[in-house]
Amino acid sequence: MSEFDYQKIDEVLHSRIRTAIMAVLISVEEADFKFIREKTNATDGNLSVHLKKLEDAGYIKVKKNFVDRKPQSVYNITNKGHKAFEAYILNLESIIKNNKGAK
Amino acid sequence: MTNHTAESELIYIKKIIDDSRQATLDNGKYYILWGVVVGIASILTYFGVKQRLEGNFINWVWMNCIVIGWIFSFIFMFKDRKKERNKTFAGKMIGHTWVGAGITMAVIAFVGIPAKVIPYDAICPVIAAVAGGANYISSRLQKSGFILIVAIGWWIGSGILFYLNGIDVILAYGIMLSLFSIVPGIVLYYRWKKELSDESLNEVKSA
Repeated sequence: MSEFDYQKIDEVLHSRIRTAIMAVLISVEEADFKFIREKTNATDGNLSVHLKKLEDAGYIKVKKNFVDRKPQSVYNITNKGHKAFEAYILNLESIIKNNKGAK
Repeated sequence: MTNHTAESELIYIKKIIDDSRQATLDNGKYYILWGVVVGIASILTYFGVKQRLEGNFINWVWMNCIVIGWIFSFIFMFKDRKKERNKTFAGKMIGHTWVGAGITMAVIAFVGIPAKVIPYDAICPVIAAVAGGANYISSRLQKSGFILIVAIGWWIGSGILFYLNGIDVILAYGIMLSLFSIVPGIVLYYRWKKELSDESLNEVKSA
């Protein structure tokens, strides 16, 4: 029997787009909205909703400023976000390991 | 969650991380700037040697050109930082590599020569070799075959410069600067501009 525990899965991160956002932000120090949109292939509206969810969970932080008089939102990952993403990856790895062991 | 889903999730995450980690395309401005600045210094040195104004005049020329180059570099850096869309580790490493290479070149020129450890004829080939190294690191971090060719060009040029003497070294170095700094800078600048206009076009299409 597999030792997989569904309660260990982080509900906030268990979504393709939110995992993608976290993967982008974990690989750079910070990134603006356009850069994240480009890397995740998401639409503006969809991306905004998911960024807000991650922000509400305390996984990312946003800085709003102006560049050439245009508003710019810059996102970066928090310590809590780092830990949650690491735990999520470890969880995925353990699922693979357990399933291989069960075969 | 099945084994297959977990595996595909991990592959997907890895792909995104690899893609985002890559440094963005160089805008070529620093290549043009330093190519022009060092080119002017080389031309003035050439005439200085021809007119027998060696010594203080040449030091004065190089000192001023390098200070002007750094002032403009800081202005560019400040402007670029404001417009930067992401900060990657690779991008930071490229910046550190060039600052390190610049300091190494300055130490060779301003300490090595007055200390009479490095002869005048050796300064250009040594600086060219350092430029080759810095270009090589940049090419690997940006995964750019074009910059790799520039790096190889600097190294081969450096090897040739070691076999030249006197005024020929400065002349050959001037040619190398236009070939491996100003021309690549212009190419990179147009590539960067093209990428920016393609991006805006895609934005208009998706809007």
